[in-house]
Amino acid sequence: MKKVGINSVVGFLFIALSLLWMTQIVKLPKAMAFAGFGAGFFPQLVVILMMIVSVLLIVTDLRDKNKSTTFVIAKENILKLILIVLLAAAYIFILPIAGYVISTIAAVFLLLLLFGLRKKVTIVLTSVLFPLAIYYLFEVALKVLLP
Amino acid sequence: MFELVDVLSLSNILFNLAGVVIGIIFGAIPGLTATMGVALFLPFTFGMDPVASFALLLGIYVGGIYGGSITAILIKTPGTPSSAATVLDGYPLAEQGKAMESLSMATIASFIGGILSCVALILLSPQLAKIALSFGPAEYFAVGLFGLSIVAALSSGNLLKGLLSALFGLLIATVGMDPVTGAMRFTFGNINLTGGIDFVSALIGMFAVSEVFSKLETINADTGMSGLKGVKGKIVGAKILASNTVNFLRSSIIGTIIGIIPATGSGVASWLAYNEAKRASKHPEQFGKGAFEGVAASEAANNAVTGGALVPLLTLGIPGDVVTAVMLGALMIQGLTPGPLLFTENRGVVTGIYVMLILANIFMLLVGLLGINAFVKILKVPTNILMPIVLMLCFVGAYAINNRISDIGLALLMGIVGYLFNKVDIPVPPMLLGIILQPIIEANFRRAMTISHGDISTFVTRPISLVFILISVGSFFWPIISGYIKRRKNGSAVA
Repeated sequence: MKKVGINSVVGFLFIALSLLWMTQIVKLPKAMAFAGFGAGFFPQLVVILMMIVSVLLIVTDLRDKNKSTTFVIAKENILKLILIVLLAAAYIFILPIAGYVISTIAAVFLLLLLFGLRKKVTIVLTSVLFPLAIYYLFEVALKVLLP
Repeated sequence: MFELVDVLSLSNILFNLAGVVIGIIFGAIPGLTATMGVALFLPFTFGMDPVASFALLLGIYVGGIYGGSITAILIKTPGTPSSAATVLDGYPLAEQGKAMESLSMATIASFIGGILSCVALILLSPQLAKIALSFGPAEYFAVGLFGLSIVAALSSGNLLKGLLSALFGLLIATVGMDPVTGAMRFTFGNINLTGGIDFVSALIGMFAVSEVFSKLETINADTGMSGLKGVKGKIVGAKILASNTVNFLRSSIIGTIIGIIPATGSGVASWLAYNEAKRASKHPEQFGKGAFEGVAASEAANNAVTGGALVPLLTLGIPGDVVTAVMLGALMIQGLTPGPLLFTENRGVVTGIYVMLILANIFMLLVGLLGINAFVKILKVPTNILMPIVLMLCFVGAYAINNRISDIGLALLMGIVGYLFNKVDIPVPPMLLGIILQPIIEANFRRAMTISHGDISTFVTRPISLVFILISVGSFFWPIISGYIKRRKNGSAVA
């Protein structure tokens, strides 16, 4: 009984990525090639190599009897991971609108909750003091501008 | 002498000390690494002058590689992968009540390894830089290929996955404007991509953001940090130190050489030195049960990587390990181009780097011997407070490099990629090297082809280029050959 191992999945994903890249490579201008090697040459080479390696990976995976077939992330962790990514995405979206200090206070506050911290005083203190410290350090002391 | 006075200003010395302390903390906390420390503090150095910025970053580097030994010895959890070999003998020693002796051995060994590698750096770099002056595009292409092949072959047991990772790095690095023709590549119509992938943001994502995600999963597991206790006792005796002289030397040389080879880092070095020390030892049976030699070998070697890894970075612009890859970013932000010209045009900076590396090792020795109990207290800060802070530092860092919000998105995206790669056992360092080496490999290949009018033999008729290409090809096939030899050996043993 041949099951599909995790490495095969990885292989197929990389082949898909190679094909996606291929659709872009054919659009590149060919006229300006120097000595036969234009903008598309190198990416094309990489994409072809990537496909070969992916196929090899799939082949070795199919022949491997002890392959792992499971991709383990616990259910409650998947939710947490989706939440942290959404939170980070929201942060990036809010940042230019609300400014650094306010968005970061909110983000640290929510992150601390997500990481399971329950002490109210610690949460509030960390989420307020840390962004202020960073803001002061960068804007005033290091003169690096923040949004 | 004039340069030395300039370099050793009070502020530089303080930055260096601060770096060492920060580094030890990053190194000691499992999940935070030297790479992460340097990447997160890189943005803080934007406003500094080059020497001050390297005072801080080199301090973090040296401290970070050393710091891993503290938790390796005290709670059997290496703070960084480079101290994994230290656990084998360091922890049994601590169990026997020799924690302080073991820690001081690790500190002294790290110091010796670090200093010897500084000497190697100072002696070798100018020579290599002189040779590198004669490098043309063909040689740079070959060296780039060499770096990539080594990392793909060595970074983990699976060559194919290492290759995929490296190829993925090469591919995403081609996003943006083609440097030769000016054509836009793979931007998918997105204006933020025309400038290409900023590799420092990508790196922060791959090595720091991904770690925050992983920690989110294990946050409720007991890390054993609560078991940390202060240590008392005397430091390791002069007799034991003296008996390890050869061991120190051998391990430092191994570490330095591994450091010089592009893209192989302290993790490889410490295991190699550990195994060699075991082989050469008069009491190999004590290894794993609490041999000071094991701690000495592992720690001397991993810190010896620091000086070694700076050699190719400074002379060729090719980082010797992942941490120096971050430092490549630091050099470029300061407007300095690593490579042979650095040695003629920015001598002051080079001297500064030498001096700060030596100073960092001295600080590491002092802080490590005197301040160990203070670190034990700091290490008790719970991870669930630390991780949100780390994530926010990642984002500040990614933004501050180009003042682009889109770079935060890039760091987030690469964090997800890095996390998934870890999940399916694809090594991440080859991808980073791919991103860094892509411009070197592609541009120099095309330049060399233009010079030779399309004659591909230019890469094999030039001796230096030929040697590097041969080693690259060899390292691709080495796992296959060595596997074959092993099977032959086992086969004959059974028969």
